[in-house]
Amino acid sequence: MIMKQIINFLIFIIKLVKPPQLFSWKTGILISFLIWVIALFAAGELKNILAFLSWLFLIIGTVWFAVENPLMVSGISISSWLPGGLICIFMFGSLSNQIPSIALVIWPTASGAIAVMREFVQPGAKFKIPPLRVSQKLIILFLSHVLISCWLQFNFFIQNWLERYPSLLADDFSKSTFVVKIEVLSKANSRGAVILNSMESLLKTQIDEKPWSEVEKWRMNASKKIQILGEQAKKQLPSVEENAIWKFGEVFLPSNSGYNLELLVKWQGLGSMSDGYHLKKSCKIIPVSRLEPTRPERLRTAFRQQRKDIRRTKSRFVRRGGSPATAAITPAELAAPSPVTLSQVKCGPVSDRINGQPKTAKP
Amino acid sequence: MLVTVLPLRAIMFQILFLLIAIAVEAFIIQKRMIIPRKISIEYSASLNLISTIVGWLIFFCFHPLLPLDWQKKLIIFILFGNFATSSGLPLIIMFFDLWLFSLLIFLLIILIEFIVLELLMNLNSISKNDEAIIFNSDSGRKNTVKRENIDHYLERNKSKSLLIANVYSQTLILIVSFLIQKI
Repeated sequence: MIMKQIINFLIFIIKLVKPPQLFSWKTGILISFLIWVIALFAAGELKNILAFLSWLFLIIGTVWFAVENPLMVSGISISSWLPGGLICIFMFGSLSNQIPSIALVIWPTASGAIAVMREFVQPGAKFKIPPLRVSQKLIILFLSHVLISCWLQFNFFIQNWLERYPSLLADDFSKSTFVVKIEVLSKANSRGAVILNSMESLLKTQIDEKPWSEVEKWRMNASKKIQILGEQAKKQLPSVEENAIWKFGEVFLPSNSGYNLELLVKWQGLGSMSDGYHLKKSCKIIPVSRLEPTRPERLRTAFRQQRKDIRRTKSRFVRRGGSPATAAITPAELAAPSPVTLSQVKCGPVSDRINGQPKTAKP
Repeated sequence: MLVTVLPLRAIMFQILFLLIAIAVEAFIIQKRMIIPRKISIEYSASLNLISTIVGWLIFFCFHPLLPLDWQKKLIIFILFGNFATSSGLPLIIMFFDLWLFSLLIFLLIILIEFIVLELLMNLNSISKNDEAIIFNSDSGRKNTVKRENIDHYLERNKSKSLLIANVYSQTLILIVSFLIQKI
């Protein structure tokens, strides 16, 4: 029973695959498939040659198919897009595994050429010149395929610019007569925001939780330090052409306690705003005096102190003069907890894009 | 998830402008050259398609040769629809530039169309295997016109009618594109 079903199925497959005559598109694809199977077991140079032949027969088969049965939709043959795509992948894609943009650009043109070729072939694989009325239509058909290629190339031209200047994506494209921005489920961020955030974390490693005197020292040449910070932050990003456009600045103002620091990244030119824009992040640097130790801690410290005193007196019995090492272990502030002023850096979120360039910081 | 910029507006407007140009030019060519409507539509369609494609090819070939500053201006215009006037150029000069530029494009299109029309006619006279073309004339009668006759019709004040057809269609396109810019 099962055997019979399998046999029936095999017969069906054979009927489906078997070419109706020797010269037909199915023969081409069949040969291509067979060569591909052989190529699987071949090695070295032979494998490449077989793969090449397999491709060739596949393309011949599909072109034949497209010429024989054009699936016409309003006068345009759809089936020519398959061999067209195969030819493009064969020509440009086999060099690397990635399909380059040129293959996509050529695709419509190749399909158009195949669609046009249909009119030049008579049954029996004879060449013919199509009649005037048809040839005029063929020219239009081919040209419209080429125009689609041009549009694709234009798209890649735009994508190339966006790759070089990814922050352009965050801009406003509503005034353009050429492009529309498509945002699905997410919003494009200006890379300036990323730079600001990594500048913040770099800033914190430099002056957060540090003695206040260090902050004062840092403040002396803050603008130079900020430039260095910015360059470091830029280096963490993938390097593209737009990195050169980002410039940094800061506004350093004293407030009633500590300082207000505004980190700025400036984008000059290239965008919907003719003077560029800037993003800012405001940070507060405030001195925080460390709190005195709490009561249990104070007790513990006192207890430890006593024990050390005892040990010291003991050692005095063993060795006169006492050891300086044990004395150094006891930190001064534990012995007498005096408040220490440390810096604390608090930063807000990155601002939206602000039109124009910021005014330079007052000295 | 996905943020990208696609030139969909450019494609849409190009189709619109092509349809306008083909319609206007076909109408004028038909009237002035006394050829059947279908043939005039086919001619103007292939002429406009070719001039558009050649325009694109020129753009793709010469764009990388421009100085970087110009390239940036061009991409700002394409992406954001405004001209970067950071160099402090007076507006008058810019408009003059623009006007000169569109005149250049206009002349280029006409030149291309002349050449292509010449080529098309040569091509058609090569494929002589159809003796006659049956078409409906304006009066509705069925006419059988010999190929030589059609060629003769087309030859007659060919350049003048092509020029006039282009002036009309380009003016209309310019008006429409200004309206689009305003909206």
